[in-house]
Amino acid sequence: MSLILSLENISAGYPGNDRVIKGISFGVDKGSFTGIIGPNGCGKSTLVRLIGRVVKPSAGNIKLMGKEIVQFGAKEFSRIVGIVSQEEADFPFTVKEAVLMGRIPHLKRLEFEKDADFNIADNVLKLTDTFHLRDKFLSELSSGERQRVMTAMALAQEPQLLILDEPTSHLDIGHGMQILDLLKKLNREKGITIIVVLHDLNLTAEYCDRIIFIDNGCIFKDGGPFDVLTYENIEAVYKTVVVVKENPVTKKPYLFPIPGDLCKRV
Amino acid sequence: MPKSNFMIIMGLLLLFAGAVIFGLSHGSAHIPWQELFLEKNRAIIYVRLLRIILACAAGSGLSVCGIVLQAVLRNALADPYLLGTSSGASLGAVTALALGFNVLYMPVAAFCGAALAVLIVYFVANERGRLYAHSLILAGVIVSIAFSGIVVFTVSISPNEALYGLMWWLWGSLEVYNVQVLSLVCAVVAIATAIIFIFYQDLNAISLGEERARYLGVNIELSKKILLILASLVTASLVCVCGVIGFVGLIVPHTVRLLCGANHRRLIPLSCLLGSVFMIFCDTLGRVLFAPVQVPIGVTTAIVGAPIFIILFKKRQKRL
Repeated sequence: MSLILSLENISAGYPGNDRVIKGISFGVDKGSFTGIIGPNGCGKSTLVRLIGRVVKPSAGNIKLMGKEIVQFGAKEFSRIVGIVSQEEADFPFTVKEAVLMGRIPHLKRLEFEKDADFNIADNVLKLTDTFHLRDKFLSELSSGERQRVMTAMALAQEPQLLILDEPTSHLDIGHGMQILDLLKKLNREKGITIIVVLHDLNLTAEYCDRIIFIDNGCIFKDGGPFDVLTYENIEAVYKTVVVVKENPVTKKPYLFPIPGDLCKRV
Repeated sequence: MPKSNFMIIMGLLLLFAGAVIFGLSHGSAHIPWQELFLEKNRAIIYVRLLRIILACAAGSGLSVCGIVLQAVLRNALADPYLLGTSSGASLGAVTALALGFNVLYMPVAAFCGAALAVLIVYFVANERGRLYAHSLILAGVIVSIAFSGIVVFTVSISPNEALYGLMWWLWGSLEVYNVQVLSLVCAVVAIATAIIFIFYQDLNAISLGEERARYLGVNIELSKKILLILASLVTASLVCVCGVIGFVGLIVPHTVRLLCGANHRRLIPLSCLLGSVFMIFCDTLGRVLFAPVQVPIGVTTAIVGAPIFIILFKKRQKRL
C-alpha cells in the first residue's frame, strides 16, 4: 500500500512553548483508518494543525502523496485533505450554505455554485443524515447535528484524506457512534483515508485499525488496538489502572477502569 | 429560515425609491413630489441630490466596513471605527484647525490622521506577520483612547472657535462642501465595495472560524490584510467628508443578517441598499425635524437606529 501522508521527524510549538511536538515520524497508508490518542495537552490537536498547515513545523517535513505540503496551493491542498476542527461558528448560516462552503476549494473566486455542486452538497447531507436540517440555521442544531453538518462540509470538499479532531467529544454514545459508523462507511465504501483524534479509548479500539498513542509530544506506541491498548501502556501514560478484556462481539480490546481507592486496597 | 430573497430585494428597492423622493421633497423648503422636476426648483434639488449621493456612499460604505470587521474580527459588535479611524481623523482635523490651516484642508488632515491611527493599530497588533482578532481590537481601543486624549488636550488649550469646527466631526454631517471630494470618495467606496464583494467566499469561510477557513483553502492572512486595508481606506475617506456617523455600520449588517442570513453574497449588496435607505431617511429627518436648524446625522442614526435594532434583537431572542 502506498503512503498518502508521511511525517518525518517533525517538531513544532507555539511562542512560549516551543516543544509541543518533539520529533514525530509516522506514515499513513492510503485507505487506512487511524486513531490518535493521548492525554490532554500531549500535542494531538497540534498534530492536526501541523498537517492542516495552520502551524508550521520548526523542523522536519510533512509530505502528502510524496510532495511536501508547503508546495501545494491553498485550494489544491483542500481538495485532497478535509479537516473537521472544533471551532465554534455563531454567524447565522443555514446548514445548506455551510455545506456548500465545502465546495470553495473547487470554485474560482466569484464562481457561483453549479448544479453539480448542489448535487454533491445534497449527497453529503444525505450521507450524514442531515438532509432534513438543510434549511435550519447552524445555531438551531444540537451538538450532534452540528458535528454531522461540519463533517458533511468537509466531505463536500471530496477529500481523499479526512482528519477529524475529537468529533465525538461533546456527543452521547449514540451520536458518537453514529459519527464513527459514518467514518467507517466512508472508509470502506469510498476508500477515504481517515485520521481521527479521539478521547474515548474504547471507541478508538472498536473503530481504528491502527492507533498512534501520543504522550508528551512523542509517539509512545504505534500499532494495532491490542498492541497499543494494554494495561501497562495505559497505566504508564494516563497513571490509571485498567483491566483490558475482549469485546465478546467484535473481538476488540475493551478497557474497564478501576477506581483509585480500590487499587490502593489491592 | 431565510425569507424569500425576491420579496426582500423588491421591498428594499421600493424603500429606496421612497427614501429618495422623501429626501428630495423634504427639507427647510417643502417641494411637492409632482414639482420635483420643475425648472424653478433645480437649484434646491441639485443640493439635495448631492446629499443623497453622499448618504448612499456613507450608508453603503459604513455598512460594508462593518461587515468586513465583524467577519474578520469574528465579533458581532465590531464597528467600522473600531480600528481607530474616527479618533485619528478627529486628531488630524483638530491639529489642522489648531495650527491655523484653512477649513478646506480639513478632509486631507483628517485622512492623514485616520491613516496614521490605522497604521499604528496594525503595527501594534502585528505578531510576526499575523493579525489576530483580539490584538486588533485591543490595539484599536488603545490608539482610540490615546488619540481622543490628545484631541481633548488640543481643544482645551486652543481658542474656542476651533471647538465649533470640531462639532460636526464628532456627530457627523452630510453637508456637501466640495463636489470633487465627493466624487473621489464615491469612487473609493464603489471600487472598495466591489473588491470586497469579490472576497465574499473568504468572508463566509472566515466567519465560520479562521482555522476552518484555512482548511477550506482560503489564504486567510492575505485576505484579511486586503479586506482590512480596504475597510480602513473607506472609513478614513468617509470620515473626511462626513465625520463620524455611528450605529450605521453596526445596525444595517445586523438587520440584513436577521432578515436573510449571513451569506456575504447576499449580505453585501443588500446592506448597501439598506444602508443607503437608512442614511437618506435619517438625514432628511434631521433636516426636517427642527428646520431650519439641522440635527447632526449621528444623532438621528442613533435615535432611529437603536429602537429598530432592539425590536429586531428581541424578536430573534424569542425565536431561538
